[in-house]
Amino acid sequence: MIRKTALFLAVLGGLYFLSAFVFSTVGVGDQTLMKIAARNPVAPGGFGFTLQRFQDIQNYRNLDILFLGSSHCYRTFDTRIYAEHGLETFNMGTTGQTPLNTYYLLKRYFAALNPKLVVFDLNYRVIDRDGLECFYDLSQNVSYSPEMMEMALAIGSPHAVNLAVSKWMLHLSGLAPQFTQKPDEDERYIPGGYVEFTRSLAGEESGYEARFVDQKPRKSPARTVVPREEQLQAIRDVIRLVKENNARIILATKPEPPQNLGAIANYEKISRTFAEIAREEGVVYYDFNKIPLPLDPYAHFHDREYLNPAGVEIFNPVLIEMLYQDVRSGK
Amino acid sequence: MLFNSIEFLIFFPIVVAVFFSLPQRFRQVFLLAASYYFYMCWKAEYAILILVSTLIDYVAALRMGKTAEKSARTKYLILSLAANLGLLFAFKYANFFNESIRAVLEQFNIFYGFPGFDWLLPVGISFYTFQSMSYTIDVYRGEKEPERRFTTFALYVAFFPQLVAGPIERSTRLLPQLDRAVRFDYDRLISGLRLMLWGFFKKVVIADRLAIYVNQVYNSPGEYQGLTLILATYFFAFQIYCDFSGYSDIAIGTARIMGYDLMLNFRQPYFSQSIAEFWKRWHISLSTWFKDYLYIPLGGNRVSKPRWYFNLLAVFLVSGLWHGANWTFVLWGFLHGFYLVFSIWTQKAREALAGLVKIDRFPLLQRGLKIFLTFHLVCFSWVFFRANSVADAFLILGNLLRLDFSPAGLAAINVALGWGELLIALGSILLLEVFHLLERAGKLRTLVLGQPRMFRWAIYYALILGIVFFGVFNHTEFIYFQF
Repeated sequence: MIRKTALFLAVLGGLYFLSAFVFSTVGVGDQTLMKIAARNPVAPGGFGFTLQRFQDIQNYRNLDILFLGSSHCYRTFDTRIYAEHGLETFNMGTTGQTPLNTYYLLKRYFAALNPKLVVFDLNYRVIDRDGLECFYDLSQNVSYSPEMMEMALAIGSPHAVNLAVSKWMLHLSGLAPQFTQKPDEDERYIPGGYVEFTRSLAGEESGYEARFVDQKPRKSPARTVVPREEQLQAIRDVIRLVKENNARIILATKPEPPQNLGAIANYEKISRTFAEIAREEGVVYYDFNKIPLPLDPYAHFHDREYLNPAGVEIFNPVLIEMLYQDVRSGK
Repeated sequence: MLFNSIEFLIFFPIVVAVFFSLPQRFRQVFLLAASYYFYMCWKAEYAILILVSTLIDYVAALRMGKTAEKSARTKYLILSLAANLGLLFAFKYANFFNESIRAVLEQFNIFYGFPGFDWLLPVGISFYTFQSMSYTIDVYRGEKEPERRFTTFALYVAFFPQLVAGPIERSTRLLPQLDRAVRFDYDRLISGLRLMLWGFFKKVVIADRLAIYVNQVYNSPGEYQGLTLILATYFFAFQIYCDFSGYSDIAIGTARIMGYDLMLNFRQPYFSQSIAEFWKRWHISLSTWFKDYLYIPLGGNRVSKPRWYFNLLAVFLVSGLWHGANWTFVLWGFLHGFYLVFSIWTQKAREALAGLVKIDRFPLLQRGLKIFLTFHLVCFSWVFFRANSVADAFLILGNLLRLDFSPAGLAAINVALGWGELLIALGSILLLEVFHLLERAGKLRTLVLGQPRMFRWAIYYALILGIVFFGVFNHTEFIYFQF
């Protein structure tokens, strides 16, 4: 019976890898059978400029600052502003990036980028997610590495593992397809990872006014965010990884229109949780929703969530000044 | 703990390995502990409810066994029924009745301020209370001797494979099995694993994929019409079948591996030629429960016709309510009761009509038409079962026939799933029906089990890889957990 079971499992293993390879090569265009089966909605070179960002990353070494986080990160920390202050920076934010994703991305890229400081943008929106959304994006737009497999296993979704295995199979066979970044009408990629809004929603019926300025009450009641334990642990893991590599890290939550925070029933509690982790790990945490900033909800925000280019120009110099103050005060 | 979770895939092999390594006398206690652990993974404190129900029924049955006096036996039966139905009422129906009373009184401008309960519905409460009650009723009727060993009876109530979603077992079937010594049997292992595999496939590949489409449409019914609503309703018919029969297959398979036989819960219900036949093929353990413990005590069909009709309607209204504390379920139950009453009432007329149009000369066509009609009557009733409210159900029915066959209208049926996934969904339903047809023709055994090992393994590999690659993994609960 044991021999039969071993044989059955061995053949099954072989068939699994073979199927992963075949499914990732069969399909129409970039719609492979694997992508459909894994329910991956992300197109290679699509939304969020991840493809371009991780091609661009090859040009960066020995950074002063590395920014990490979700789309809030790559739409907030404008690397050009830091360059004006003589700082070499890179923004490694990606769509839906949870701390779990951040940890494995950092594990892969830390040695090459060798940053002196890491700014880790913590966002309440991703803290209750499993990281699959970000993985979908990475699996389409970032080349294979063992950390990708580790990330898939840590997420624990068979969809993620299947995608990672198929990516690995393509990598081994040398048949990994090459894609190019698709342009976006509303945004543009800035070398260094920042993504800038090129079109304002102001004046659009379905846009800025309707969504924010007229302050229509939200249809849905305020959401209570229940952080996942593994995401909170991943924040600690990121901090430890940075410290082990003799770099500094600060945790930050970027500003939002005050009205929007009302959509989260337990924002205060989440913010306190982040502050508690920072305190226990001996690092600094800035919640920019609690620090007075010269930001106007109507003039400096693109929509309910993101800063617009004018807001970015106000926010980043404030952060730079705070970072210098930290250095001066020895924090 | 869900069957379709990593936790269960770790839990179950450990339980089986420990179970068969233990001496016979410790196995029952171990299985009981494992069953409570299985339940407590969901919400530990609610295991107390199972324990309360178990203790009361255990004592009540023992007391019944000690006396031949009918009044005393009745007293203990009432105690058991009151305890189980009381638990069920408090945790499942109190808020429903409270809200219904409030709604009625509001019509007369009467303020009704009795507060509702903020309790989570205990998973599987309708299943284990019914199973436990059937035991005390059997003892009361003298069909079963009271079980002396507490662990055996406690295991009968809490046996983990069927604890949260059935099949609802009978004391006369399961209790003797639990008392019997079991030995590891390789053939039972393979047969159990095969059934589990097929159950997982139905749940993860078919039901959970269809659920994405169905949830999207039924949660915003005002946004869709015609073909989309029809497709969502067909999909729901297969979703609920694959979800629940998938659960039952996994439950029967796990029990089989450990040496126990649970009752069959589904027999290709969508091939039924009448609603009466449908109920002999759908959720068999529940429909036979209602037949044995409600329909027959009410007089069954050995009464006057009006009373018979009443009995049928009453049983199906209660069955509807059993499924959920919502008027949608009551209407669903009523519809099935109505179908049955109507079919009895019109039986002669229908036979005359069949003779008139001479359809009985074409038995295959007649059978096909009957299956088609029965399936659509069932689908019609599913609209009430799945809709979030009665208003939603009528909204859906009102928009169901607004058909648009233009290219844009046809393109609009692609909701929530891409075309690729829609094809996977339709393909997997086709596969399911091919499997059912082979099963009905009795060819499945010869076509699969009678073949050389490599052929059988190829089918197992296809199913496993189908689950791994084409399954939908977002830890969706089984629909029947909520009942």
